[in-house]
Amino acid sequence: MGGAVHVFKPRSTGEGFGRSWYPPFNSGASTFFTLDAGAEMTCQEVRFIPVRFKDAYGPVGAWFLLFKSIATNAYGGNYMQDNAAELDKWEPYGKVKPRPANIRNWLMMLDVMDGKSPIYMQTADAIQAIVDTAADEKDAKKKLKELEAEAWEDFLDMTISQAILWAATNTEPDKKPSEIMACDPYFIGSHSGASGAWVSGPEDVQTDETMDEYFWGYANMTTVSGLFAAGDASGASSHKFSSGSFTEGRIVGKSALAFILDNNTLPNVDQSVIDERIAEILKPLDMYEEHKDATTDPAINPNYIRPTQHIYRLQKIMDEYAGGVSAQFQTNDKLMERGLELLAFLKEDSENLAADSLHELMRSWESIHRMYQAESHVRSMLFREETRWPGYYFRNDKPTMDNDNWLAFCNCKYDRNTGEWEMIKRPVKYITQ
Amino acid sequence: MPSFVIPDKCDGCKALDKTACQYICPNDLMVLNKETEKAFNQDPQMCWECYSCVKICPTQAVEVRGYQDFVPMGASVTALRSSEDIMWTVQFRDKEIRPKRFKFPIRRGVEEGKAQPFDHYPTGDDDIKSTTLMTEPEGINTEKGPVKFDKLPTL
Repeated sequence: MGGAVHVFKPRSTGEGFGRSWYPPFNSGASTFFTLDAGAEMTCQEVRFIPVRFKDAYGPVGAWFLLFKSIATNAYGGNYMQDNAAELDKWEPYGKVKPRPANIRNWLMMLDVMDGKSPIYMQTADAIQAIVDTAADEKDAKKKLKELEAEAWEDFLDMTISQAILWAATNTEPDKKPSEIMACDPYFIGSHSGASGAWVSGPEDVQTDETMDEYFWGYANMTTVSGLFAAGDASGASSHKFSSGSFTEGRIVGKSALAFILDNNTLPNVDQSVIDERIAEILKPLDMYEEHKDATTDPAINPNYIRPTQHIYRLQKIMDEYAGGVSAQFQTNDKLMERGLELLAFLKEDSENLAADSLHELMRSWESIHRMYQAESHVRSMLFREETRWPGYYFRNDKPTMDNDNWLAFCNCKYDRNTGEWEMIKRPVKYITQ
Repeated sequence: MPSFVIPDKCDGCKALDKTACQYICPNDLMVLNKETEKAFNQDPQMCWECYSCVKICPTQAVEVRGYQDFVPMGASVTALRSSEDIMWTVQFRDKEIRPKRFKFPIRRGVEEGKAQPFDHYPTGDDDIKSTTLMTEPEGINTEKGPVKFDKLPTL
């Protein structure tokens, strides 16, 4: 699956581990397969961290947009107003309306770092304000009932866990506010994320200026001939969302068919290569079988690493060195360099992954996929020597935005034979003004 | 533990090749214990509480209890799905608060198997090399005029 969740440590450590904003089954597979094929990737430094109702990650959109609610710090301060001076630092995009998601995160985080938590969505005030517009008492009652149903439906349609949390904490939204908080970092090809493969644009929107840079024969083909990407798998298109991803899929379908018609020969892959790949894929099962009897408890065995511990190690590295939740989304060059050293050990240990079942075999590979998403992320953040998206991540050694040098795409490529990474800066060229 | 199975209600979907919950789970979590012939969640830590298993279970044997590392005990949210609607019952931890019941229509635009991929529109220019997609330009509904955005979507 495209997109990647659980590359970073989530806020919950027990059962709530699975309560990510994006689904936990998004394991970074598309990133791994495009990287592994040698395709150029783009925007791998861009992560998405949505603000959601705390812990259960219920959506906030209906509250902000439909109910016109405001969020405040614990002392009633409106951080979007109080911290507005900060927007100057991130111009021009920082002052775009509606405020970009990372900027809204950032203004909230400033209050969090300033010791003004918890942050609250003022649900009761918002509902009261709407009820106050009612003509009479009967109308007010009806309005309240409708709003209550809409508020619960918002969660019951999308994030049922949040409804459970409200019920378990005796929260009735018309009576008291609810905490909101930034989630953990995710990788997605849209919805304000941008990571994915560097793909050819469509021919009809190119200009003379962009043609050489952004178009190479077939729309949405990666830099590897015949490998196409869409949705979460293609990068640098942060605002396509689900309908845009759907349309991108249609574009790819047509474009890939055109490629097949132009190259109508079956690829000839040697059987030995296929056999080698099969052995590689099944290796964690063999590893387990070979060594499981060396100890009395197969969970603890010095010969191998099980996928659960592998993903925990990955998440700890990313959390502490690459600006995760416990680092308040902050990092610097030295932390990232150290993180890469630790990721290198993890990569070596991946050779010893052991799976006791097909389920664990899947988890083993998912963790490897996440590990490649992680490494491309750290390398890209390190390559981009500035801070461009405070609220998503902040480089303390390069705390400002540097448009002279970094108003550009940060791309990367991985060579599976040598293990080498190549970092590439690509210019931003505008198709429209 | 997110989803759990009530043994008295679960019949292991004996008539099917695999259980309904096994079929629907997007994360390979629900499996059948071959000895007891009851389903269970094999990796609860990776459960998203998406309720797919709850909604599909033909005997209403699957329920969800909140993640205990942040959800206090005693509340429940149960779903009962019919072909047209979904009925929700929300029980609070505090039993003094009246349980809430909601009935919402199932969000399905077109009945299963009845979708018309091209609707009444012509297929288009039928040229695999062109940049227009199937049914364009007619199918993008431009005859209805431009789409009006009174507010931009935010996240």
